[in-house]
Amino acid sequence: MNAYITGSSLVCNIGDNKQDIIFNLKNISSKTYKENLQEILKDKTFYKIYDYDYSNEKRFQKILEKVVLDAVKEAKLSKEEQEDLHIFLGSTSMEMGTNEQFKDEFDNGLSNLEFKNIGNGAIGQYVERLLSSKHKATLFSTACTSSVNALAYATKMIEKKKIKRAIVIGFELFNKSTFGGFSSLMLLSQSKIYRPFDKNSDGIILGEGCSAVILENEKKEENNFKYISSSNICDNYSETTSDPSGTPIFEAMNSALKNAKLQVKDLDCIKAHATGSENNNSSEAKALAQLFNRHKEKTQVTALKPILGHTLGACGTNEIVLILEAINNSFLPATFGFEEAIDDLAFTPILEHKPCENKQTILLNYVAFGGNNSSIILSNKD
Amino acid sequence: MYIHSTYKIINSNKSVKEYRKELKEISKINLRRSSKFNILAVLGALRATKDINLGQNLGIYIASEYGPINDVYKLMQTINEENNIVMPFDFLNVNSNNVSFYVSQALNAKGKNMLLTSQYLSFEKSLQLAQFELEIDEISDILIGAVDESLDEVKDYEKYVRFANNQTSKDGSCWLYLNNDSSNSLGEIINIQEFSSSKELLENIKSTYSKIALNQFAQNDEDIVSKLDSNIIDSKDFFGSEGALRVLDLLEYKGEHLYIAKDINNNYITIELKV
Repeated sequence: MNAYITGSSLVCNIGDNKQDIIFNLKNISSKTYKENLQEILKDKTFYKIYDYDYSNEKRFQKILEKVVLDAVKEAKLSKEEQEDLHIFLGSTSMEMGTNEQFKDEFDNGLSNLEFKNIGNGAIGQYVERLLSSKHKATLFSTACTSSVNALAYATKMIEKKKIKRAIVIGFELFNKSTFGGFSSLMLLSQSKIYRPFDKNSDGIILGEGCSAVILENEKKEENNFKYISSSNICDNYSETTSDPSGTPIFEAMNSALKNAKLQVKDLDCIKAHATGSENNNSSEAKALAQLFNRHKEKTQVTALKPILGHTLGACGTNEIVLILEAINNSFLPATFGFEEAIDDLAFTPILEHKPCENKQTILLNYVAFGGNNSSIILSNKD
Repeated sequence: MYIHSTYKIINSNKSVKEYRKELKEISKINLRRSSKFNILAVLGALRATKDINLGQNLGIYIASEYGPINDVYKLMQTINEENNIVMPFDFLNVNSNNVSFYVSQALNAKGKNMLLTSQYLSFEKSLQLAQFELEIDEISDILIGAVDESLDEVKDYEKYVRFANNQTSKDGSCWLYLNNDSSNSLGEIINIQEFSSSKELLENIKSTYSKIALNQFAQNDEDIVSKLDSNIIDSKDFFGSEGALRVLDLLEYKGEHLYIAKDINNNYITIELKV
């Protein structure tokens, strides 16, 4: 049994529906990137979602509702199918922004509730109600791999006929705790230019984004991507940095290939995690070099965070939805901001959007705090 | 799947210093500035596995209802202040997935690790996922922990969390080590099943269980209690992810047992086990 992506949605800095997102993405080039970025980051060094000007709580609900309903609509689910969706959610900060809002209102005497919730389970309940789902939601908290790990579980459960269909939701919205935390760890870019694998890269630029993916055991459209394989391993080197050798990241990618009985030559593209931090630039570059050496082949590499910002626990599904939609529109997105390679970089990432067939096999790589490394392979080739 | 080792910590609210001291006695891992949540987890995991040769392909699953709530509460007290600076460890301690990293690091495990939540059924859903991964040979051994701090330090916590029986929520760190090897096991998890109503549940369970344990919401489900009353064991202690504790309670008795968990929306999960 296969697991197919039959519907998806994304709300991010460059739009709140896939049509606008692709239109806006196509209009970015390496020449206009920096100028665009200055505009995006003029108020705060952060990739913000526009046009959802509500309280944090309402904003969270509106954005979540939008991605859930858009994905369900695209998958053309009947009411019964919608109610049969198993729910998997992934996020780093969960509903921290809403709790910050509640605390502020409490301190200013506007509310008698200091929090919205203790724990994050209520988010699952919100989605269960949105969908009238018969099934209980599970929330994954594995930092930047949260939503990709959620997706890997859901697909495997479909493959093994444990469930028929699922919705996987990645969500990450602005909150002071996370922004302040990354800032205090000195991980954020000061130059305000996102430059993965670049010699002049000076850090991460965070962003907000939410996405949903509907997974089913039968494809609905000819070009629906299916899950091929995945791998998740733990790098015990440090809580906040990867093993500088890159070996654990290599192992995650290589295991995903092994599990699929594929070689690098079978991949049309690798979507790197590419946060732009010094440690990630270097360790992931070494991991990719190891992978290319091991397989005696190279393939194209791209990175999507210069477009979306680093959307932490949501980046798994956000980046999957973005790249699959780009492929559906016959291009592989460019790695903007890359100009001068870090030492010994074994590849040059895609520098401008590159036309491609809309049948592709791609590996998406993710690296998280706590050494949680995940790779997933998706394909819509026959 | 077979249970090979268990360990439980259930205490009324104790300070992080006390747990840190206990951890120092058994491990060199440096958690000097880490949260009580992390320390509770590492302490429980180390003790649960002290006599176990850990499998090479070990999956670590941590279930939690509230996560590092005391540290989140502390961070929230100042987050809205003007010019507030979030300190690195204050941030890292609210990043709840760090707990599974520290458990992996303490055990030198290189396999997957996860932190999972599912409102009022976090342990039950996590065990279900872990069982699935064992079934498909994604992992060869499971270390699963249910970890939650007492809510005593959170003002008016009853406003935010539903308690069916006005229990005091204690510090808890309950662990089980499982795999498919039946030799020398303490017991076997036979089946984990979900039901969408008490009627469906009662129609599908056997009538021959030796003992039955219920979570807080199931204890107040009249349909279930009236039908199964004579076999229900008394459950005294309580903490956030209580399901693990109820399973450990049942392991005290010989026979075939059932644990029934219910949430506030009438979702049910049963865990059948044999000792």
